Amino acid sequence: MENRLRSTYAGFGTEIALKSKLTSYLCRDEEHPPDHFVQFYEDDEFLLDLVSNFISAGFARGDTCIIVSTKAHREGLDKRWRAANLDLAAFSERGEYIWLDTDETLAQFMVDGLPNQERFIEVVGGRIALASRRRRRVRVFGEMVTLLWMRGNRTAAIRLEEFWNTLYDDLRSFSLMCAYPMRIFAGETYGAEFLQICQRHSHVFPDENYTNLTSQEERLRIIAQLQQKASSLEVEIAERRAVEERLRISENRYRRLFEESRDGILMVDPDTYIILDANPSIRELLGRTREQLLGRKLWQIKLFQDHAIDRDALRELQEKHYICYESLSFLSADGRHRDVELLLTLYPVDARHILQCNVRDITERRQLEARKDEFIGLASHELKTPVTSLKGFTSLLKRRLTSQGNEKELYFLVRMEAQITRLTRLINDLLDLSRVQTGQLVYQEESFEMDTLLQEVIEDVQGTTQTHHLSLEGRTQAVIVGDRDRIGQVLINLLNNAIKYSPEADSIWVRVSTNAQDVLVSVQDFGIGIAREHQQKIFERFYQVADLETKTYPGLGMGLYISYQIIKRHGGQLWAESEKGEGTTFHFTLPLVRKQESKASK
Amino acid sequence: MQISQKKIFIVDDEPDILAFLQELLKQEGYTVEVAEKSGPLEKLSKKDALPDLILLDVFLSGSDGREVVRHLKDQEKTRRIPVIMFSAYPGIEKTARQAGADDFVAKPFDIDEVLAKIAQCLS
Repeated sequence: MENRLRSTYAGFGTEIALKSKLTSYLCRDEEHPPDHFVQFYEDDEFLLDLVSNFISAGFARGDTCIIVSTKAHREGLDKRWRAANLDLAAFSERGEYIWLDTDETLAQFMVDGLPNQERFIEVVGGRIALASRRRRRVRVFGEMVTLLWMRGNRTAAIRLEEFWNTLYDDLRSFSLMCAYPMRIFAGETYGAEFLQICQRHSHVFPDENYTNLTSQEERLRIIAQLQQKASSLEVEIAERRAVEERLRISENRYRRLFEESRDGILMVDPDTYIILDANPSIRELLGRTREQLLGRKLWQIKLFQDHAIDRDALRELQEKHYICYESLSFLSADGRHRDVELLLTLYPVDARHILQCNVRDITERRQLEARKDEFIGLASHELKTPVTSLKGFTSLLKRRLTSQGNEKELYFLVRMEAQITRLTRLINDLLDLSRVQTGQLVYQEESFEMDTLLQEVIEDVQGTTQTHHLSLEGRTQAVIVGDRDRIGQVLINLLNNAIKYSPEADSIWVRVSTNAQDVLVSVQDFGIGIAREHQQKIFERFYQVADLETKTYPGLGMGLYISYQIIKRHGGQLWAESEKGEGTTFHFTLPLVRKQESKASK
Repeated sequence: MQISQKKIFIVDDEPDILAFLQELLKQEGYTVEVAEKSGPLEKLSKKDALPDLILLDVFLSGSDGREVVRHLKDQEKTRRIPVIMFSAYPGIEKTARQAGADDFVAKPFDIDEVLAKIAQCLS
């Protein structure tokens, strides 16, 4: 068998040569002619040429020829034989040519989608047996298996191939040619079944891409190439599988991030504001099903309908790509009042943008904050009550010692009083800090003169220091609207800082000026200064410049944070200019309401 | 002194605060009466001798000073007595004034500030 095949391949030359060689192979008059072989093909014309030659050679040898084909293939074959002037009718008349339609023949032995062996033997075996009477050879071209395969009934196709083999073993009087278009095996999943098809044939012929080659060298080259292609494909498939697995894991992970998130998440199309996806948490929060959310516009769900997240806000989002609403409240599905924090993020995904809305239920956090505020209120009350008594008795003593002219004890008492004032300030700062954070710092709205406030505050602070001289430069007659006490608090804080951080210096300058919109106040000291890297951070909560030099300066790092928040709240700015060792100047601006015309107009 | 005839009624549940205020105001020549609870104030309208001014803490043990002010300002007999309230609670000034307080001082207060406000209310 091996030898026969090798001689066949070795003999293949040009396409013509191939066909004639194949034909001669197929027509070969030997003890054991090819029994059940398969030809793969790409092009119908190529197949029809081969079949035509296979059958023509049979006619020439006096074999009976049976074709079980589609009508289309039959027409193709007829055309070829007409061209060769073959008298098909005569062969047919003598019973040497039999054509059967695939579908009609299949219908005679298929039962419940599978071929029935008994019926197959009866229908097909009977005909072949009849045709091989008087020791005649029979040639069969059949494409029933091909048709079954192409219709997806691959089990039936393989079984039918087996029936053919059994039939051959019984009769041993025919050669059977099968043909499959190569393209129907294109796909990794067909590997095992393709092998089964090949195993069920005594000979396998590759498609024309191989059999058309003219020399053995070329064929070996193509085999090598095919082997290389096969192994690289295997690697590629393995890689693809690994990538798919990674993708699946990644997709799964991110999907879980979305599905399992305790935050409610909505994915929204930023152009139409239509909801694209909604995770279980947001569904629970809103008391709506996925179907009730998907496809709706953002305004149609109650979380957004009553609130300030309007189109303007979303326009702002288009510019900044990020908006956070720290506190929104709404009634949840079960009618409970809920506080939520809403975070809108706009980001590109592939060629489009996605608007992601994260909704976090902060009701409990709000309740805790309320309790914390209550606690701080209570704590500050508790702290202030003893301080009030201390301060009261100290004042009483001070009056008495003053009237007695007891300078030495009076000095001690003044020091005590300064410490009480400091303690009071710390308590107030702690309280303010908590209020600033929760946005509950109460601001009075009144109009006041900046010049007067500056004079008052400077006078007060001057009274607390013997080391520094405080000077005011400039008069503006500026009128400000805001909380006079809070602005005063900022000034006191800046002046106290100036004194605290310039222990070697003896003067502090306060300057005030105006432009068309703002009043600018600057407090300059000649102290230790602030290194550049700290200049912005000093306005953060609890920030303390921690280096060897400043370690000796006490404080909780709240003053500048509170001052910054107060100025910000008034629509102004607070910043520092400093060189290390050269001193610091703090500046703040406040929106100017008007300049006072004259004292009388107040 | 002219003010020596003026009588001030102080209510605070902190005895120490009462003590130094009493001492201070006496030094200033006022007549002072003190109470740790609001009870005496509530019965004020039944008395013949009324104080010229009341100093009242907002949070008293057992009662709310703002309710007391509201009561006093409701009664024809007591409505004209100026009331200065004080408290260590932040942000309470607004509701104290809404309740009828004529003035407010935040604790811990400055004695001079208290004296100035008293003088202002009595003038």
